[in-house]
Amino acid sequence: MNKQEFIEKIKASSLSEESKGKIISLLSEKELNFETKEEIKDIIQTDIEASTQGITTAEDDQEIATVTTQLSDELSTLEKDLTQDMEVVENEMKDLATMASDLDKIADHAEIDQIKNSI
Amino acid sequence: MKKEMLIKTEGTDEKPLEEGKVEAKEVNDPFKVGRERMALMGNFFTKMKEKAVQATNYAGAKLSRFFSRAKTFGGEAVAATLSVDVLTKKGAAFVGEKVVQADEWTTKKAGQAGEYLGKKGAEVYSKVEGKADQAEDWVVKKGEQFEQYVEGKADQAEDWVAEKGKQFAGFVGSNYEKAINFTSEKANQLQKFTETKIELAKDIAFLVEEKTMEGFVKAQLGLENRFNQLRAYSENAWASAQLRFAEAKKRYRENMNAIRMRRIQASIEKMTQRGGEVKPEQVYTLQGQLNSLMEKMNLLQTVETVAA
Repeated sequence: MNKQEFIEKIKASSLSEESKGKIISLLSEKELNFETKEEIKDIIQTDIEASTQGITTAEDDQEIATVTTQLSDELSTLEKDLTQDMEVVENEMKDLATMASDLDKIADHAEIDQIKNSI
Repeated sequence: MKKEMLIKTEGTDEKPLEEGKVEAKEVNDPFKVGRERMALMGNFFTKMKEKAVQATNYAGAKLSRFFSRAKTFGGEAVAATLSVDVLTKKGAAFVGEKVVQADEWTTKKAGQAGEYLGKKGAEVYSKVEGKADQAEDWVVKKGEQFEQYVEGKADQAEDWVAEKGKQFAGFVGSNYEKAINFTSEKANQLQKFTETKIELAKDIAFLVEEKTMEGFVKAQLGLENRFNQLRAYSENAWASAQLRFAEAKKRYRENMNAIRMRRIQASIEKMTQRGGEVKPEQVYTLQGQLNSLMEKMNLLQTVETVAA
C-alpha cells in the first residue's frame, strides 16, 4: 500500500475527524519513516481508547494487570540497558577527549623542539 | 471526570441503556497505568538523547580543536623531530617499556570495559602482551621507510587534518535499519572498544616518546575511528531502544485491544441471549463498535506496511 492509498483508507475509516486530521497532516508534512509511523499508531490507539472507554468489567482486571506488569517490566529493562549503554559512551567519550588533549600536548612539545632546532 | 456511552451487560450494576440516551458516569480506566508508563518513556528517551548529544559534542569539540591545532602545527614540525636511527635502535626495549606504559594507562579504562563485558582484566592485559611483538616489528620495519614516508605524507597530512577537523558532528541518532542488529552485535562492539582503546593508548605512548609523522597520523586516525565507533554505538543504542519500545507497545496494544474486543463480543452475546428484552438497536450499536474496533486494529497493522 502506498501513502495515498493509506490516506484514502484513513479518510474512509471510523476514526474520529480529529484523529483523521492529525494523521493526514502527519502524512502530508513528514517523511513516512519509523518515527512517523509510530506517531500514527499512537493516534489510532488513542482513538481506540477514547471510543471504548469503560468497556471492560472486573473480570478483565487481572488480565489487564498482568499485561501492564509485563509492559512495565519490559520498559524497565529497556531503560536500564540504554542507561548503561549511554554511560559507556559518556565515559569513553571523556577518555577520548583526554586522549585528544594528550595529543595536543605532544604537538606542543614537537613545536617547541622545532623552534629549538631552528635556533 | 469523563463522560461516555456505557455498554450495558447483564450481571453488572449498570442500568439498561435507553436508545439514544447517553449516561454520565466517572470512568474507571484500567488502562491508565500502562498509558502513563508509556508516556514516561518520552521523557526518558529525550534525557538519554541529551546525554548522548552532550558526550558526543564534548569529545567532538576536543577532537575538532586538536585537528584544527594539528593543521596549524603541520607536518614539518613532526618531521623535524623525526629520528629514525634512535627509533630503530631502541627496538624491543623501547617497545617493551611503551607497552608497560600503555598497560598502565589503560589499566583502569580497559578494566572497566572488561568488567562490563563480564571478562577478567587479565584477559585484556594478555592481549596487550600479545601486541608487543607486533609493535616491535612495526617499529623496526617501518623505521627504514620513514624518511621517504614523511616527505610524501607531510603535505597530505595538512590537508587531511583540515578536512577531518570538520567532520566531528554531534549525535545524529535515528538509523533504525542499522540498529536492528545492535543487541546481537553489542558484545562484539564493546570488545572492539577495549581492543582499539589499548591500540590507541599504545600509539599515543609511542608518540610521546618519538614524535614521528607516521605516529602522529596514526594516532589521529585512531582518534577519528574511535570517535566514529562511539558515536555509532550511541546512535544504534538509542535507535535500538526505540525499536524495543515500539515492539513492547505493539504487544501491549494487541493484548489490550484483544481484551476490548472480547468484552464487546461477550456483551453482544449476552444481549442476543436476552432476546426480546433488548432492542435490536442496542445490539447494532455494539456490533458497530466492534466493527470499528476491528477496523482500527487493522489500521494499526496496515501502518507498518505503508511504503514511503
